[in-house]
Amino acid sequence: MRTFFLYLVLILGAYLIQTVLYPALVVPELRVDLFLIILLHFSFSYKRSRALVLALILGLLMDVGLPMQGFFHPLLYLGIALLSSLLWQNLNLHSRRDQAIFVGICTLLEGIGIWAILALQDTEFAATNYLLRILVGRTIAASLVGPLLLAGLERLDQWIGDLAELQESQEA
Amino acid sequence: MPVTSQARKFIIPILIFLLVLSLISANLHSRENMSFFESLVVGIISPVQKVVRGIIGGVGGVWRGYFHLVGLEQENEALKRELQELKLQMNKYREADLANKRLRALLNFKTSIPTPLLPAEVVAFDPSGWFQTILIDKGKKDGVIRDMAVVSADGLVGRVIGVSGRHAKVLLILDGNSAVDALIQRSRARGVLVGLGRNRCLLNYVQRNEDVQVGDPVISSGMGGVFPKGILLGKVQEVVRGNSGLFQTVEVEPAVDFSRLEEVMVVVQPPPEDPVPMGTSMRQE
Repeated sequence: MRTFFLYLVLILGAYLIQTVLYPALVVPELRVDLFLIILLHFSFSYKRSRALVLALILGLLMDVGLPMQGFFHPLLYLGIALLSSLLWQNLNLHSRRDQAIFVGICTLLEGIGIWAILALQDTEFAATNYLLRILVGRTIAASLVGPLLLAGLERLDQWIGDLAELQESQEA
Repeated sequence: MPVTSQARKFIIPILIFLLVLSLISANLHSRENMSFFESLVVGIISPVQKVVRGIIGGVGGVWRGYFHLVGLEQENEALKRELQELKLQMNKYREADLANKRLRALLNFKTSIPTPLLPAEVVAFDPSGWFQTILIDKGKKDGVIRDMAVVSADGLVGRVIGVSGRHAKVLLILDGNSAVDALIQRSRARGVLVGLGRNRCLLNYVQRNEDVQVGDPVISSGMGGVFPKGILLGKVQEVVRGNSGLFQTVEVEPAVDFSRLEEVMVVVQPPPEDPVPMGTSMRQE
């Protein structure tokens, strides 16, 4: 239950940062998708079924700002959650360097997905250098910042585990 | 044949994918109202977003205020000079306005009824940062419906693409999905203003032989009925005439500073029946 509330607060905080703080303070090229980082951490640390449920929730939240109706982000996040949980088990992505590469790849995949949608809609934006710049900028920013955020989330999980243990021992 | 646990591991995610994929294909058209989930999320989170935006605005105001104080004296002098020039210009315009009224009366023009404007506050921006949408704190209960134009004191902001009870989602003219029928104010050359995703727009389909110059104001043409005629969209930033082709490339800088958008006004007039053919495209007009 404690973990549930912690993630609820984390998701709310990330949503506020992405909808209010980012547009006011951060240039689009340097925005790191915080939902993606939370999702990756969740996929690495919890059961696959839980990660898929979280992916669905985060994706639906992301889609609130989308101009078209659809389930683009849920699909994308489900794919990423599935991929990361599989890779975590098989490739053992423990080192920060591997995590940086993986976060970068996921950010790139997200960007390519958005580009594909825009290109299918035949928008001018899809053909601009600006989109490419955002894609590259975000991939680099996510690779640099992502592992740090993942480390922070790991610490948080550890802290909650310790707290639970302490409570149990006190009760005992 | 019994399904092994290994196979089951893959079947469930594949089924979820297929379900979401079918939902995507079923929902690729635009809807008038926000979905239940969207309305719920917006209803719960928007008060918090409003508070956070208020705090950021306050801190930003203090910061900007401090820097303004530094050059205040010089700015004051410059403003005094500008005021003198504006007074002279105002006098000219007053004369022109009086002449216009006389001519209108002569031609028996009907005086247009001023369109009612509904002020609204910007609550949030698109969380992904790929699309250019905003959320405002006025919705269906305030009389806002889909396809209403949204303006600010500087010019056109966008149009309403989804409404819930107390909120509405607005597609900015910067978005790649946006298209507004536009005119070059000076030469009356026509084109379609499309968003480039950043603080730039492109005026498409302007014929090569049309007179377009850097600095020309671009206004809405009123064609299509979504946006009222004559609203400022921006000014021409760059004109490129290639060696071949029917059209010239005209880049436009929007009149509205979208990074500092706080208050907007919804043009409360019923839009035409169906300005956008329902389909996968979200393009305006």
